[in-house]
Amino acid sequence: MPRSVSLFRRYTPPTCTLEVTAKRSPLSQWAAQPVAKDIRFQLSLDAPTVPKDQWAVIKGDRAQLADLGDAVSAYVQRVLEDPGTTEVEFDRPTPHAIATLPALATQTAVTASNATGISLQAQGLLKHTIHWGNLATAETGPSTQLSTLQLFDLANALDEYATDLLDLPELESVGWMTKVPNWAQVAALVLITVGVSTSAIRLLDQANPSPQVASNPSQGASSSDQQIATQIPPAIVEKATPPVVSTERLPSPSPGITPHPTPGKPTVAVPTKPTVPSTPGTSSGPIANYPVPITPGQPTIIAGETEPPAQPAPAPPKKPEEFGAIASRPADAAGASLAQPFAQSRSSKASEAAPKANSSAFDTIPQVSEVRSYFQNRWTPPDGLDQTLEYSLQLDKDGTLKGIVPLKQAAGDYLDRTGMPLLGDPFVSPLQGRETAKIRLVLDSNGNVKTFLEE
Amino acid sequence: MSSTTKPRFAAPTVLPLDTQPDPHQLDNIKTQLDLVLLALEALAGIGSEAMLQAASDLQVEDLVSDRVSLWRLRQSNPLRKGQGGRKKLDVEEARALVLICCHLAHDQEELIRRAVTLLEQVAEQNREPHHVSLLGDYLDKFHNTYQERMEDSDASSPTQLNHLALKLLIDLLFYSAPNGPRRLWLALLDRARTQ
Repeated sequence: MPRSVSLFRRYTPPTCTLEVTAKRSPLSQWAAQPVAKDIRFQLSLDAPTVPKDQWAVIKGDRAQLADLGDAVSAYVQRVLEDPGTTEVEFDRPTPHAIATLPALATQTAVTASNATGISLQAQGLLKHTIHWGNLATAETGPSTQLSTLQLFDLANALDEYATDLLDLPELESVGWMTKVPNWAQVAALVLITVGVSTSAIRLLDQANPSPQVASNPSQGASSSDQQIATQIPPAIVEKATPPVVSTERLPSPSPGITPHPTPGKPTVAVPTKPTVPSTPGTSSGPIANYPVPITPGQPTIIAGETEPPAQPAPAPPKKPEEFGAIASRPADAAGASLAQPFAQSRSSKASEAAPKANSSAFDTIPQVSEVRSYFQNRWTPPDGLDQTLEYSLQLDKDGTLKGIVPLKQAAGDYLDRTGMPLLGDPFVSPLQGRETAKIRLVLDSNGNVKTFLEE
Repeated sequence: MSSTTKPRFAAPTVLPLDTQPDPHQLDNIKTQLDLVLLALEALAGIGSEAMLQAASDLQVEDLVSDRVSLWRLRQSNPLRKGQGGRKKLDVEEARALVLICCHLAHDQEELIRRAVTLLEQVAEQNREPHHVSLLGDYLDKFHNTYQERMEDSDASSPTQLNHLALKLLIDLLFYSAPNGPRRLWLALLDRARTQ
């Protein structure tokens, strides 16, 4: 049974929060590391020392996240490589006040823009300006000033993400995989090998200081092939996407609604790798009395309460089929049902399932039985599960999934085994006469599925 | 959801080397590594015992086995006073020192972060770092140790040494992260290439 499940990653160093949502591709079955696709991210620069209304929030897609990671990583490397590190011949006059310490050598202090137009620039030892390129919004403006600690945390969050994606836990093998003809496995394996190799090269390149970054506008595209087997190269995406004119708009998102987990309000944090709570730093004089958490955020998998976008996402010109085109090629070859684009597949399955659903006394709206049917077709209790998983699912008016709240820790732990659709994906039929609905989903360890309307 | 536990630090295999550094480049690498360790000493009072323990934790004790071998490795910094015991640092020893530096920086992550936080605060307030005890102590120890050990210390003004010390402090912050070894290694190689 093909399954594509949502991935949520949240990285919470003290001064920023990086949230990444993605789909886990079924192609992960062949890869040493799971392969993620349709990655979206939200970065909040939420340093406790900065007033809340000045927190910059940046959202974007995989290519932009890769560009951001490349730019920050390259810049950090430039900062570290700056001669100031070890040069003992001081050839610059150094004022006493640190605030005006000379900037790092200007020729090395700038990382240049990539396809996304992100660049960073040093302003003395302790200040850095990040130019957001096409990630800029009306709220952020074209650039934001970062302190060294913010830069450090941002770089770590991005590094954690880059590592984590390749380190995602392996899925259990599923039966359908064994039915795929051998030649198709070989073809898929080749693609995966290319993808993984390229991502390895990318990781090397990422940290490797590369002055060419500046002058090579294709850097962003070439360096972001982390999921080459399942992702459309940014160049193709760009062709398929009208240029973004307004800085207030993000580039077209992938199909569906961009999830917007509420920063700082995760409804459930799954403590498999718990976020390290902020620990107060030891006070060292009166000015050191605010908490100085020290451990970069461990990735935490969360299912956050989601909210609709503050402003409507730009209408995506790309149809789901376009997104699925490349991703499904190996599967086409394999002849597996994987070939169906996810949204399309889900949509059709949901609609097929609906009429077959057994109704119950709690089915006050048809979507309750549709959700039940959806999971009855997918829910196979994983080995070792000995408790019931409960989720509160919020449906949007158009029948898409708006929010997932795992109600117990185990529910969060096993979220990726449930066959849960992605936020924004077609799921059930549109709601009639109501804006939203909340449905409780109960997945028993014996395979039973129950649903009822919460509100 | 299960998750893999990452090793605290990357294995030496993630410290790549495209081309063998020439002797001049290795000299630069030696200097930089010695200064990073000096900054750790000045900030956290880390001594050779802790460095040897780190070597043991990292299973590189065959490269850095005892105080004498550690002293000889650090003495290989061409800026050091005296020639006694200077040895040629090879790439594997440099890798081992990178891992040790970052292991120790990671151990002192909280302290380093606090020091950088204070540095940002005094900079915002346009005050001298000496006015904060942690930074003042660090700068004093850095100065003293530098002047005690380095040949060119007389030629460097206190302001210049301050700058160097604060830059090293900020660098230590980045080296204290999980991928610190890689950052330090690449910085060393790049600095060696460009000098």
